[in-house]
Amino acid sequence: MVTVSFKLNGRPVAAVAGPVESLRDLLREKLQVHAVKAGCGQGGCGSCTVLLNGEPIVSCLTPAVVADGQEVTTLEGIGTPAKLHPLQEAFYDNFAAQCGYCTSGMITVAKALLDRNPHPAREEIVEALSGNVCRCTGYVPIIAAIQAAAAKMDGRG
Amino acid sequence: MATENIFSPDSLEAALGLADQYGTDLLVIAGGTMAMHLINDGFISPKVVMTLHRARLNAVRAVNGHVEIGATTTLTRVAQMNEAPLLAEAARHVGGWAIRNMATLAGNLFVPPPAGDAAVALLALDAEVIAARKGGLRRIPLDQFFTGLMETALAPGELVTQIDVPRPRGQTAFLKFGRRQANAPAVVTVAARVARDEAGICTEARIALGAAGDYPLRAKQAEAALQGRRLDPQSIADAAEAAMKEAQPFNDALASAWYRRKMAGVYVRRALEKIGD
Repeated sequence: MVTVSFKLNGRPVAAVAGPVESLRDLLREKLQVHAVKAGCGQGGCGSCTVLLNGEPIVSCLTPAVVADGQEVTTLEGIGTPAKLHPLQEAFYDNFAAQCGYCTSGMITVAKALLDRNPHPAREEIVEALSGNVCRCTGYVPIIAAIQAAAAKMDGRG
Repeated sequence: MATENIFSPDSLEAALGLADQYGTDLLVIAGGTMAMHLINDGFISPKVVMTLHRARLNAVRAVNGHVEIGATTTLTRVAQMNEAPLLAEAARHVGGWAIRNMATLAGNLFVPPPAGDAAVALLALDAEVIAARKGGLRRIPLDQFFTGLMETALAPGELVTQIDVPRPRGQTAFLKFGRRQANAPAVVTVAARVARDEAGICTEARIALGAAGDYPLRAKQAEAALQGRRLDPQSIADAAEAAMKEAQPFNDALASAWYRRKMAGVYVRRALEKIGD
């Protein structure tokens, strides 16, 4: 067992992890961060995406020890029910979540994209989302939501 | 058997010490994209694990077109390498953004097909693997590195520390055929490099295939079919035919072996046409 200490959504946390326990399981089962979804466990679906020092990674394939001393951001750190992030508002307004299972991964990747590139072209959005699979909503409203959020955030800036 | 321990050494020396101490009991994790998948699905249960994320093996040095790439350099970084355009293009074809942020160049040498696109490009570039062990290192030409399905020439206790990519002679092309444009394993991957003299005669050819065998392989008969000839429809057709015969493809959920063999021919032809006259 290894003690892993890191900053989770701006707050210091510590938890005990098994040697090859994934960051996904540590977040979901020990730190009760349930926006991180357990999907394929193979890196193929993107539903467990989190940001490690601002970079998207799939937490199912990340040994928990890799997070030690680092900063992890999950959907919970992007917005809250009381204060939604513009991306979350745009997903709502554009009907970009049907079952919702891919949504937290989608928004997390979109956040990382807009942090780097506030005015992404449609192809850049598609490229950024290419590791995140949606099986019911469809990609068209998801892309539209990200375009709407970018426009909205631009207006605020 | 449960995994007993995980180490995160903060230097190459410490990593080599652990590799020496634990030998074949040790599973090395670079980015985790393959190893953690196998662990999550219960395919492997290593006794001891070592991650290399703190071992500082991700330096990149480019001198006159010759590029030395640290083993744990991420594919995101490789995908941005103007110094090695063929390799950069191959890296862009692996996974999605998150996977490329984690996956490493040396790690890509250890993934089973149909993954391993970067390794296919490295093969066409005559890359060399630097393998270190406690007390020494050796260089292994990449086309002698792969020995079987998920088996390599590395001895127990050896680690890949660096990959050297010589300045490429001639023109190159990389093509990957997957079931979707991104985040998809290959039906077939082709990397080609052709050097020609002033008269347009091929003096050196490399044709590497991915998802066409137990590991990335060079289609040496196809390369020979181009030697001493111009790159014209007839020589290209001969090379594509040879590559189809040399491929040793497999069946999986993405494609049948029959289809993969056909596509190996088609994509070798297209890659050579892309290099063109």
